Formats: sequence, structure tokens, C-alpha cells
Amino acid sequence: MTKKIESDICVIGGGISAALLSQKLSELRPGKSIVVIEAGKRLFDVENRFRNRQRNLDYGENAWPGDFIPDQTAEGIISRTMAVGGSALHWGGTCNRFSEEDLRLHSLYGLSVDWPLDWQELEKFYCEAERRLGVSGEPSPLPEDARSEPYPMAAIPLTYNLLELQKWANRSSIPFWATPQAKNSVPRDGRAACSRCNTCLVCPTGARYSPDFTYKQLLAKKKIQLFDETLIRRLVLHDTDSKKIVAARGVSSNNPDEEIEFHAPIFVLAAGYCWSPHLLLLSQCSRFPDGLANSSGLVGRYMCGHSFISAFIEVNAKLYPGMYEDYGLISRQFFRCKPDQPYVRHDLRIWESSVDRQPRLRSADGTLLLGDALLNDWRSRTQKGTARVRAYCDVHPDRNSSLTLNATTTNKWGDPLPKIEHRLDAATLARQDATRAHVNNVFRQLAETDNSRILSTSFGNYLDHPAGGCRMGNDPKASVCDSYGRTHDHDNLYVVGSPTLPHAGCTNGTLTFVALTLRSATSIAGRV
Amino acid sequence: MIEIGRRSILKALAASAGILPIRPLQIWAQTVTFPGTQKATLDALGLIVLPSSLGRDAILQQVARFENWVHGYHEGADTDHGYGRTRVVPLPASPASIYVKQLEELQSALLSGDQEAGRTAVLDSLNRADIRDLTPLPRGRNVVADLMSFYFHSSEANDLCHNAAIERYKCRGVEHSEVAPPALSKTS
Repeated sequence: MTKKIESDICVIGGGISAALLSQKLSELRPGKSIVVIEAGKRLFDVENRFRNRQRNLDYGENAWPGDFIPDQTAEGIISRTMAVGGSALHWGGTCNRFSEEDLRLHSLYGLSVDWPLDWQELEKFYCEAERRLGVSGEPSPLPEDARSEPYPMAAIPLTYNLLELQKWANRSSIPFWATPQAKNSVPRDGRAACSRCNTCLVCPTGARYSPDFTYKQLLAKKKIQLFDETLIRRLVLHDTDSKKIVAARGVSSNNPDEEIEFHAPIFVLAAGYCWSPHLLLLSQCSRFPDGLANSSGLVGRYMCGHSFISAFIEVNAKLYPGMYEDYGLISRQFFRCKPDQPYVRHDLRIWESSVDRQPRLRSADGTLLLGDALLNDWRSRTQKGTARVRAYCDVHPDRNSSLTLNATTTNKWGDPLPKIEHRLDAATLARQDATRAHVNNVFRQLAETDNSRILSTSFGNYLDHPAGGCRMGNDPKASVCDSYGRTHDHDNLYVVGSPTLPHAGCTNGTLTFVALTLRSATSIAGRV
Repeated sequence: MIEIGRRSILKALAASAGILPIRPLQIWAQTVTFPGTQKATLDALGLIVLPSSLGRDAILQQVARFENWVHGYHEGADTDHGYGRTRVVPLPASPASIYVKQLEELQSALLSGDQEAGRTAVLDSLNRADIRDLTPLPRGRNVVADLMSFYFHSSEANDLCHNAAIERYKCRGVEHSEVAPPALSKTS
């Protein structure tokens, strides 16, 4: 027995991209029916967030109970979160833009590929994304970072700690300013201003944007139909027309004996960098034996992210750890690289830290400390502060940086689960030592201006802010979809958000995922 | 109450709990009453390992809060998860029974009335267990270290150390955050 659901637009995936896509489509095409399908649950329990936050602080419990599906996992770098709102339920709200260089890597540097759209076009959608998310920010002082619109809200004020760190860092001649955040600095969009709870990954007041707010608004206004706890297992191709998808077929965990089919003229895959390519690979058929939208062989290829290098640096200033650890400073000075110089691009971030200023059980000579002795030892080490410093470095994926179907691991429906293996291209590997040396020099530059010392340096062992797997491009042989996310192989199938990125830039990706998705919405709206 | 760095707690919990092959049932009942007959021992421990500058009453209040922490522990509750975790790690078994056993071992020294004997027993306990540092959250390995972790990693201890009302996890608003937090009042 198969249950059939009809709509004008069928969106698969219920994260941040799907939320803002649905919101915009409902505005551009009022009256058109939009269905959103999410494998995980809806966790619309904002009233529990203070309690959940406290359990997380006290015991390390998951602040989002039930936000995963036990047998729906993957091998490799993924977030386990599968719930309405997706990974952005947990995000810190950082909303940095990429830079023009990210879109022109091949033209400028002969590296990787160019994106199939230009900066001026993307910048418009950055502005829209910032409006919809509600970003508070301080404009970059660098002319290359010029904006066509101001930030929707002024930046959240820098704390005493951050002002001290800014003074310290600016002495190095590297300018730093407030990192833009999807957090209200004033009440906005029915949500409160930031209360500085210091736990942005679970914001108990709603000041930090979370996609569940958008879903609740859309549902209250009956703009969308939301099918949560419904896993799409296959996309179904038209019997004779290979350019057309006719259905998304899945199962609801509330009624596992009944197959459910979603029919629509337009299908949008908005399930993130892991589950979007995974579904396309699962949907193999005789005409597309390697998976739908995959005549290029590039579905699940060029999986990307950025590497990172971190340091803790002692600062000659009294700091008060805990004023606002999830808020920080950014410099975009190293987003640019002159074409005649060795290639290295990265962002540079600073946060307050309590590293090396923590209570310790043993003194430097190993003596155990109790009670007042421990407190006195602790106090003696807090006359100076610690800065946490990090650079996200631009690295480029190899074609074999892949998401594949892992036949040895299946979910309860027998579907093979994904396996992600990140691999960097040869050019990235060749300059890796030079990149590390450059970033270490920048850290030293910061430390030396103040006679400070670097306490430790570490190199990340995974790629952060992962993306890719359905990269966009103009050439159907070298990409999965066009700049709007429309797949080259199927007229009515779009992929939006993180999977479409050819490479992941050198700073947090969410704002870019959303901006690209909002641009896709203009194309999709024109088709219904 | 307890401070946690982003993603770092996951590693700490995974290291202490291991990756369990089977998720335990989510039943929160605890089989051992804590501290049971060892209430006096636990209080005496608190008076040795927490700062005397807090004063006796405040120390015993912190000990009571540690008891409540143990009572509120949910064995098998899902812990936080992040990138690259193919399994969600559940909280391991309640530390209550381990703590009670360790308190029983410390009982005679701590309740002997000899301050130095109590202190020596506490140091021996830490050395025998090879406790090197205070973890951000109590891990159920050693009651001495865990009581100390519980207090010294709290927001209150952070404030005491810096003599400032930082109030790390209070939703404090952003007004006046550009100036250093005020000094603690003498009564706080």
C-alpha cells in the first residue's frame, strides 16, 4: 500500500537551507503548495531549552534530546543531527561572507575551479541572507569587503575581554573587529536580544537564529506542509523521460508498513552535504546506474571543507574568563593573496580563553594542591590572560575526496549508508608546509608585539564546515548542477545549499549556503 | 554550573565512557543512595579539599550541591555529539556506588578528628588513583577529584578566583559588558 502526497514543490531535507528556501518560495509564489520532508523529528520545545542547557552544562548531556536517528549515520566527518532545523539547531551563529577570490580561484591563481556566478550577483543574496537570518555585525574596514547594504543590526557590543584582546591584537598591525553573528543585538523578528548566556550552541532565549523558528512561523501561517520522521529512500525517474523526476519515495517511522510517495513538478534536495549526494547515489536505476544526476560521475565527489590551525597565546592583560566565550573577533586581512605570491588564504579569529588559567590539581613541580593552596595557585596564574586564535585555511578537494555508499553498513531499511573520505588535491598538499609556516608566523607576529608567548599550537585533523558532493558549474561534464542548483541531468531536480560548493572557502560556510539557496529560490519560483 | 569547551566535552566523555556497543535503557533510577551512611565523611572531605576562605557553611553548601549533582545523574542519557561521531555516547553508570566505597575507605581518617590524618588520606587517595588534573566534569573515577572538579570548575569558583562577578553561565545581558565585571561583595 502506498500513500501519495501531491504538491507544487517538494523539498527534501529540513535544515537551514530548506527553511529559508521554503520561506522565500512561499513569498514569491503564495498559494503554491510546498511540502518539506525531514527524516528526523521536530523539536519545537523552546520551553525546554533552559532545562536542556543546564543538563548539558552539568552533565554533558545532549542539549537537543532526540536530534538524531540511531541507525542513520555515516562514516567520516558528519554531524549526527537529523531533526527539523538540522545542524543549524546547534550552530554558533557565525555569519562570515566568503570573498571574491573564492569565486575566481582558477582565473586568479590557476587553482581548483571558478564558481559559475560572479561576486556582485552573490553579494545581493548575502544581503538577503543576512536580513532573513538577522545578522548583527560591524562592517569590515577593508575596502575589498565593501557591502551594498548595511548589516541588519549593529554588532553585539564587545565585552571587556574582547576589547582588551582587540587592543592587544591591533598592536600587531593586523586589524580585528567583531565577528558577524546571526544573533539579535536588539529584539527583532519576534525574538529577544542576546542575553549573553554564553552557551550559543543551545541559545535558551532565542536570540540566536535557529531554523525551527522559521518552520514554526511557516506552519502557523499554513505556508508549508511538514512531514517529519519521514525518510526519503529513493527518487523515482519518469518511465520514459530521463530528464524528469516523478516522485520521492520513502517511509514514515510512525507508519513503517506503509510506503509514502511525494509527487510534484519540482523537487529540491536540501539535505546537506552528506544526505543529498547520498540520496542521489541511492536512487540508481538502469538509465542512471551510478545514481541520479550523476552522468558526470561527480555526485559524491569533491567533498570539501577547510583545514584549521589553532593556538593559545598568553596576553599581558588581566582577563575575566567567561564573559562571552562564544563571541569573538575576526580579521579578513588574509582572505586575499597576491597572484604573484605563494598561495595562502585564511581567516583569523580570536576568542577569550581560560586555557592555562584553569584550576589545577598539581603545581608545576607535581605537588598536589588542595583547598586554599589550589585557589592561591590558580589566582597566581590569572594576572595575565589567554587568547584562543584560529585560522581557517583555504584547501581544495581532490576529485577522490568522496562520499560513497558503504555496502557493509546499512540502516534498518537495508539501504547502504554513506562513507565520507576527505582528500586534498595535489596543489593543496604541495603547499601545506608553507601554509602552516605562514600561519605560525602570523601567530608569532601577534605574540611578539606584546612580548607574549605562544602556549600551544595545533593543526586540525579534519576538515571543518564540510560541504560539496554535488558541485555547481557550467560544464555538465565537470559539475552536477548549474549555479542555481538545477541538476544538469534532470530539468525538475535542484540541489541547494552546502553540497553545491566547489570548495569551502576559508571561513564559516552557513551564510554562503543560505545565500546560494536564496538565489536558487528565484530560479525555482520561476518554474512553478 | 560546570564549564565546557566546545566539542572538548565530547572527547572527555568518550574517553571516560568508551564507545558502548549497546545503548543502555534510559531508566534514571539509581540503585545506591548517595552518600548513604557517609554524609559526615563527605562533609569532612569538603572541609579539606575546598577553600577554607569560603567558610564552613558555604563549603557544606557546595558539598550538598555535589550530592544533588549525583542524585540528578542520568545513567545512559545521550551525551552531546559532534562531527565524526558515528555513535552517540551515553553517560556511563552512576558514580554513586564508587563514591560511597571510596568514602568508606576514607571514613576513619576523615572522621578521626585529626586534620593531618584526614589530609594525608586524601592525598593518598589521589596519588593511588594517579589523578593528574581536574576534569571539566566529574567522571566517576575518584570522589576526591570529582568533588574538587565539581567546585573548582563552577562559575562560583571562577568568580572567587578572579574576585569578580563574572557569572559565567547566567544570562546577564550585554549592558555594561564592555567594562570589567564588578568585584565580589564581601557577603557574596
